[in-house]
Amino acid sequence: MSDERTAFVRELFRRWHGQDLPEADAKGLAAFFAPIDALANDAAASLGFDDEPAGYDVVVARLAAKDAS
Amino acid sequence: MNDDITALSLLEVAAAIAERRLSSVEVTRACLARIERLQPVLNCFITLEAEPALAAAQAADDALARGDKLGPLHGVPLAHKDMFYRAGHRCTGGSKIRRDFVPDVTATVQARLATAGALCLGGLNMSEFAVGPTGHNIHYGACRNPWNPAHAPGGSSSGSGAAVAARLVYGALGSDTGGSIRIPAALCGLVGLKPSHGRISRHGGVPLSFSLDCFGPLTRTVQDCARLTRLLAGYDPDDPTSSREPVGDYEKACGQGIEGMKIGVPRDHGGVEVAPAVATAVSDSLAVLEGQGATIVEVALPDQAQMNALSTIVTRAEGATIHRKWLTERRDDYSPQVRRRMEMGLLLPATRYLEALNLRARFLDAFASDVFGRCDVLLLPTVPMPAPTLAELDVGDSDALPAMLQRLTGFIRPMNYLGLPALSLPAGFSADGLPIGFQLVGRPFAEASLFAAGAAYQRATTWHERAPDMPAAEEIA
Repeated sequence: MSDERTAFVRELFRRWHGQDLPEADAKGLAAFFAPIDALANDAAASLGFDDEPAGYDVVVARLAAKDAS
Repeated sequence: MNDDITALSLLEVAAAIAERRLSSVEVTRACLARIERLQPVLNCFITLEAEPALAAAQAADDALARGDKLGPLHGVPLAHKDMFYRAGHRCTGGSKIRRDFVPDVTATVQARLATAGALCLGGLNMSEFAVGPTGHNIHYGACRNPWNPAHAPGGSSSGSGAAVAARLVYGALGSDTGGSIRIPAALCGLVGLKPSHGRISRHGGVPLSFSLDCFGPLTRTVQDCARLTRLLAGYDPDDPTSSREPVGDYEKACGQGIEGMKIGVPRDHGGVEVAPAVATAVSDSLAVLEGQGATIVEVALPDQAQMNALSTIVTRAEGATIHRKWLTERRDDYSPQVRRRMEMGLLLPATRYLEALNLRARFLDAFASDVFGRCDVLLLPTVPMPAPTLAELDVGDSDALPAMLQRLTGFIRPMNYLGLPALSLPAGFSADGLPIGFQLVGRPFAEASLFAAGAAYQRATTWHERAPDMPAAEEIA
């Protein structure tokens, strides 16, 4: 993982969390984070303007099986 | 004689106690004798409460003798992942940070089982703070797989899987945020239910991700699992996220046939590599279910990799929110792997987290259309390989961590993200005697359909009747 990403992770931890992350930990964290974030970023392209978390509850309610036997 | 008692299923031992063919004290002593023998090999328990359990067993027998009204688990010894609070009892969450934590509240799941008459023998080993699919724990020692102690039991409900498989207790609670019930169920040869999100109260359990956490049982048979689920499920005013959807008669569902049920199988595995032994077991299980009257149909799954990633985003953001204070003040008290995974949440902007939550509706809609538009229940492997060795999975926070996680949870995490119920079942063994599992996935709150299909499968197979060949006392000594 690039030194730039590692430096970014260290800086973010300093500014957001007041923590001085060891270089090796920052490097490992950056490598761990990047592919997951990239996949999530791709998925976000399909979001609509009106989407909100409660939309999930609406779908669950619609799909909920009523076959309690 | 003791091993004959521990070989009984949960339903069998509950009936034997209720009919006074066995006393609760006899049963509890049999379990404790087996625990004493096998704890040095398997390390299932973090806390064993032998004397209180025997006292509770005696009280159960006394109640029976008086003719008191009995619950459906009267006098049956269970033990649970060490993350479900009981007021006044230590609850570590598998962590160093909470090594001496004693809660002053009782989890609803513990209370409901106690009301049903169950005994609790103690807190079972688990991955630290329920993070980790292998069974490693640097604070309390790794839990081991009863089918081969060199191999991983799976996690994070490692002790629950190993203890029930080794016949130390008749059932156990676990939690499943990213597979933590189903992975040990599959690797230890058990039945494990990750219920629909909201089906079972989460009040009084160690939290990891409030949007995805689910609690559920691990047992030897589908019917045992159905009984525990029936007792655990239902709205709880102490957990406002619990559902008011009606609770089915899951035990009755076990007796229903599956004639005409459509079972979906994925056209491909979305890039997850499946071991030949697992592929064969899954294929055989389809033939069994077809023989029971089900129809098999092919389905296309939505993008598994994206759902895995989104599930990770949600879990990490919420977990880091819960743990932020300790991550800052007690960073070195976490194992490196758990710390790595938790700290990832500290990198996430709120927008990324909320995008992941917003996308759940779209992914669930797509899943419902693509999968449940064609079938009633989806069948796919739980873990794509038999249990690897503990040594093989001991990757810490190294560069091998992402691949290890993907390897174990490729088929698992999408169901957490979507909040769907999933029942893992034993489906056979590898050539070297390690269990293999598959999972049945249903629509939200369709647990009854999963129990119907699972029970039909177990009526036609005997995998769940096999027990690991554990060493005798003299061999351990």
